[in-house]
Amino acid sequence: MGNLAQPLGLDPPFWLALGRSVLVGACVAGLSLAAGWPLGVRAGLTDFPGRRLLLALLALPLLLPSFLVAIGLSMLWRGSGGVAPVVWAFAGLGIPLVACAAFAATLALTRSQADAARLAGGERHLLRLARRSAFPLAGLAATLAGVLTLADPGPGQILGWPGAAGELLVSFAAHYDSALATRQALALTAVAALFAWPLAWRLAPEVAVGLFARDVARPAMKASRVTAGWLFLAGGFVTVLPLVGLLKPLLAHAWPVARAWREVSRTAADTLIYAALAAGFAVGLAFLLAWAAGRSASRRRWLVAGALALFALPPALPALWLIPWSARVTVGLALALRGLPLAILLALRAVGSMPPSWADAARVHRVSRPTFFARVALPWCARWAWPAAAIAALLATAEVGTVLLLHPPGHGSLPLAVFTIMANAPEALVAMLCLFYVLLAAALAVAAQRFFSWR
Amino acid sequence: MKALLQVRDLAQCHDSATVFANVSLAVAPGDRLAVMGASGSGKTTLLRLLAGLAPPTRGAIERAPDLRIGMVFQDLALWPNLSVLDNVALALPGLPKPDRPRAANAALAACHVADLASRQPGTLSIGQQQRVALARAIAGRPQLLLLDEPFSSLDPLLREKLMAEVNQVVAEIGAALVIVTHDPFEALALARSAVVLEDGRVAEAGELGTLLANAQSRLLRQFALRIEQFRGGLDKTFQLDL
Repeated sequence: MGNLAQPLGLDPPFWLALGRSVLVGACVAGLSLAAGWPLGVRAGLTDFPGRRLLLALLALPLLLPSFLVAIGLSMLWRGSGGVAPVVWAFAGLGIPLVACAAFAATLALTRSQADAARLAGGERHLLRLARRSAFPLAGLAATLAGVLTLADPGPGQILGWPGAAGELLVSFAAHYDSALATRQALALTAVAALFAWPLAWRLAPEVAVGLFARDVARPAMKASRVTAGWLFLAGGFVTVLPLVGLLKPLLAHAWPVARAWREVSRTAADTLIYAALAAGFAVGLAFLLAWAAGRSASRRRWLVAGALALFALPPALPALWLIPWSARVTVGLALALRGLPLAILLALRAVGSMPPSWADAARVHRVSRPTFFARVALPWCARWAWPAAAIAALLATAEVGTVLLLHPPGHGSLPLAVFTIMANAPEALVAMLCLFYVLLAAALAVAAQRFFSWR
Repeated sequence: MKALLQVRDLAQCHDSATVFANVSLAVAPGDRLAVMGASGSGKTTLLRLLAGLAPPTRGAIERAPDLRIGMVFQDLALWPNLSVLDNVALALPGLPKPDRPRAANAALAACHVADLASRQPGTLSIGQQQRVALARAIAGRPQLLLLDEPFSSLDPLLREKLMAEVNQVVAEIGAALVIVTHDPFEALALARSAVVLEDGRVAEAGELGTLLANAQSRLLRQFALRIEQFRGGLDKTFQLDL
């Protein structure tokens, strides 16, 4: 390993950390697939009381920074480190990611397909069919979940199992050695690319075709208490336990609400500005690219492959190159790259769901292109642009490394404030700040859901 | 009478495969032409070329100056985010803005859907959507109306009713009509002449009654055979009833 390391100028501790990261990534990918794949398929095919609430409980960690989950677990579990807590923290992101992907893939099944499967072999046969059809997307999500752990320093640092991303952060933030940090980021990218890019290329055609909308009748859903039980367990595992961990120090001390609120007030404006800039850049660029790709199969395939590959990159990599231009706009631009891949997928879906005959009808009846765009295409795409913006904003808000590298002095975000004070501040304050963030994310998610339902 | 549309030696290729070649036809004011053929014979492609939505690979299409065209698409192509009234009004760019709602309402009334003006297309039945699509196509008083298998997804009763309404509306606005269909019954109900596409070429063309009496193409021969079988079946039923 040393011979290989020397030409790259990277020392053995970094390679050891990279090995730990790969181990964590593999465990997270496997665990996420094993738990999230069947769970997402079952949730897509069955109905039970409290379905929406349980699904929201499972999906909540997707809106939170991973280190926040790690803080909750560290407060709950005072162990001596090791791989298990880190895998648990990352699986809190991976399982919902895979479950959501499998859920979305299951929703693409038509009622007639489901009825045919039920007639052929009953409910078990339908489940088998649904699992098989959801596997490509679930597998891709699991791989991405694994790859995302490589680039995330938070849980490893907090739970005593530092990985390569932690080394990278230390190189920059503690040693101020941006050249070393860049080399480490490139090595990390190479490892991430090794796993993610071939898969992205392999699955891009399937995903690109799947993004074309079909108007389908949804399969009839069977009541299932078993699925409800599994969802409750998974939601408890990924969401409730970390939250219990965050509440634990607050039960032992007075609640430092005023101090936490001061910290929130200090950082809220910048946090929102970064989120809004990132959402604006990501959605604008995503729709431009999706319009450029249009309905061309090859261009859509390339765009999907590019989006998936970009999603697998360490977010710090583009940020490292933007350091000389440190400004709030630069932070927004770099953060936009985090949400861009998902925004691209939604934009492709939006453009793909517009039949070419709409534009043809406008042309035949001499409706000008700007009028067609303003009255038909833009309002149609807005239905997808709002969720894309919400997702991009939430992903941007959860990202700490990029803000740490690029923010102008005095303009940090709330997650960065939590991340930087957690080593020295009282546990109760850290927990209070984390809970504020959870409440903020949950409120935003509920408001977004209400807004989209109303529209 | 000068033709609205003159097509000479038209050919269309797709991915190096020829969809059709050597197609020539003319549409004069008041003509009722059916473009017939089996699925995949290039009927819709030909209609798109006539509408100017795609360029032909070879050949020429001459249109009368400032030819006004209205078209009903196979999937109707109603814009789902606009109301029924806006769907029709938006297709009237030639009129001053204040006049558009009145003209749109008149077209909707002609197609018996004026009471649906404020609804979204997604909330309408398929028959109502067909009428709205027809209203949009005729609102600009087109000289040439193109229909791309507009009745293929309808039940026979509704189809009959809508075909009668189309006949009436087309007669009222005095437009020439080109309808794409694989169904000879539809062609008989709406057209007076036909072009049959088969094996990438025009298999036969002419006055529809003459074509049916002396069918050369597989499509029309099959249709003539069905008519005979149908008549035979009717005769048997009649005898049994006696």
